[in-house]
Amino acid sequence: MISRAGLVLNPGQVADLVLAWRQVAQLSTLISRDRPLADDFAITFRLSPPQSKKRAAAKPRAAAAPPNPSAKSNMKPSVKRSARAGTLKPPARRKTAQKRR
Amino acid sequence: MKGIVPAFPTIAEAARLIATKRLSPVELTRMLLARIELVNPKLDAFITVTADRAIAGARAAERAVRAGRKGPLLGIPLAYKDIFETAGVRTTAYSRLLTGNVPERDAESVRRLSAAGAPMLGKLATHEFAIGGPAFDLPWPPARNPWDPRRFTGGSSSGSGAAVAAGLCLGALGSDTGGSIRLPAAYCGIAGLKPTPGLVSRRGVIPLAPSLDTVGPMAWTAEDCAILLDALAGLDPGDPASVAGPEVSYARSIASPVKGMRIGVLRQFYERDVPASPDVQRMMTASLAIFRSLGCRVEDATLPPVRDYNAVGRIIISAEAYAMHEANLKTRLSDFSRVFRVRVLAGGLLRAADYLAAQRRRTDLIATTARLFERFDALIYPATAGAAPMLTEQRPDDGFLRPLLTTVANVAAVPALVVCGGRTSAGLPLGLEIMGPAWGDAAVLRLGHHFERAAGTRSTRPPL
Repeated sequence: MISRAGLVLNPGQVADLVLAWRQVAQLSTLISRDRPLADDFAITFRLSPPQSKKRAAAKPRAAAAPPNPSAKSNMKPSVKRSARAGTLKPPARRKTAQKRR
Repeated sequence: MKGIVPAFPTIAEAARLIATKRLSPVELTRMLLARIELVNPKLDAFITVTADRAIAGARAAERAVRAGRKGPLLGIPLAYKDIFETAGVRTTAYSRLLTGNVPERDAESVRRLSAAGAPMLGKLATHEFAIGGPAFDLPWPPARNPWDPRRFTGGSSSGSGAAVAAGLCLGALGSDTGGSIRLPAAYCGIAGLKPTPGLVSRRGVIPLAPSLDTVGPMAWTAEDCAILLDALAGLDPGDPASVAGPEVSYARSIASPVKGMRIGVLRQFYERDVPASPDVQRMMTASLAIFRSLGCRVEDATLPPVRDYNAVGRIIISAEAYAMHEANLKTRLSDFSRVFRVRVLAGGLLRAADYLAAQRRRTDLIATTARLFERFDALIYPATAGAAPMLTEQRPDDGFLRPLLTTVANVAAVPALVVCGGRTSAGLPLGLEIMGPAWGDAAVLRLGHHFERAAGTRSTRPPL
C-alpha cells in the first residue's frame, strides 16, 4: 500500500504510519454503508437548468434596472424583524426572490 | 485624546471608550505590545509581532476617530492565526515548508477587519497546517495555556486561544475543521464561534480539508465574537463556498431576550458517548439551571453517537489533508513534524470508496441533525470531557483515539459557539458548547451572551 501511494518512508515513519493506518481503518469500519448507492454522485455535479426563452428575454430588462442601494427598505416589516432575530434562512429567501422575478 | 486604559478591556468596552475619546487606539496598542513583550516568552502565543504595522494602524484609527468616523472595530487591536495570509508579513502555517512564505495579499477575513479599522498586532501559533497537536520538532515551540503554562491550549488555533485569554490581543481569528476554534476556546476559557459554513470567507486561508474548513472569531466574550462576525460575514465571490447569509446585525441582536427558547441537552454525549469528568458534569448541571433561570425551555435531546460524526470527520480530514499536501509528503516528508505525519499520512492509503462512504454518511448526519432543530433552537453539551491536559500527555495519535465532541458541528454543517461554562476546583476553565441550526449563528451568540452574564464567568483572567 505504501509503495502504491508513492511514499518513501524510513522504518520509524513506517511504524508511525502503521499506527495511524490501523486507527483510520478502524474508523472507516464505523461508517454505515447501509443506505444503498443510488444517485448521490449525480447530484454533486448538477447543472443549472437551461434558461427558457421567456426568462432569457426578461434578463436584459432586469439588468437594465437601476441598482437599489437600499434593498433592506423593500423588506416587509415581518421579514425585517425575523432578520434581526437571526432566524432568516438565506436559501429560502433567495428562492422567494427568484419567484418574484 | 486623554487615555484611560482598563487592564483587560473587551472589544465592546474598548470600542465605547474609543468612540467617546476616553481611550486612545495608539495607547491601547502600545499597552498590548508591552504586554506581549512581557508575557509572550512564557506562552509562545505569537510567532510574529508586527509592532510597526500595529502602531501605524492604531494611528490611522486615531485620525479616523478625530475625523468623526465611528465603528465597533475602529482602533481594536487583533491578531491572526498564522495560516491567514497577511500582505508583506510572513505566513508559515507553523511549517518548515513555509518559513519564507510572504504573501502579497491579506486573506479576505483579515482585509475586512483591517477595513473596519482594526490594527494587526501579529501572527499567532497554530499546529502545523492546522492539524495535529503540540509538536516539539518544529522551528517554533507550541503555545502554552495561560491558566497553567504546563498545560495544552487546545488546537489548532492554539495561539489565538492563549493570546486572547492572556489579554495580549482583544480578539483573534481562528479556523475550525474539527474543533480548532472551540477546543482552544474551551481550554483557555474564552469564547469562540465556528460559524455556519459559507458565512465567513476562507479566501487566503491555508486550507486543511476544504469540505469541512470554516473561519471564525475568538474573543473574551460572545458579544465580542458577534462584533467581529458583523465585520466578517458576507458574500465573497472569491470563495466558492461563500453565501450571502442572513441580513442581521449579530451584535445588535445579541441583547434580545432568550426567554422561551427551546434548548436540547445532549446528555448522551457526555454521559455515555464521551464520559465527562465530575467537574464537567457539575458544570453542565449548573449550566442547565442557568438556562432555566433565563426562561429557556430545557429538555433532553438525542442525536446519533459522537463516534459516528467523528468517524466521518476523521476520514474526510485524513483524505483531504493528504490530497492537499501529497506533493510535499512525497518529496519533503522529513520536513513535517511527526504529529503531522501521523495524522495525515494514513490518508494516502484510504480507498476512494472509504472517502465516498464518509461523504454519503455525512449527508445523512446533516439531515438527522437538521431534523432535531425542528424541535429545538439550540443544543448544548460540554466542548470537552475535561479541563486542559498537560502538554506532556499529548500523543500524536490522540485525534484518532479520543472522539471529539466538537467535530459533531463540523460534520453537521451548523454553527457552534463555545463559552466559558465554569472552572474546575483547580481553577482551570471548562467550555460549554451551544450548537444551532444552519444560519442560526445570531441565536447561538445570543444564548452565549446571556449565559455568560448570568454565570458570571467573565470576571477572572489567568493569573500570569
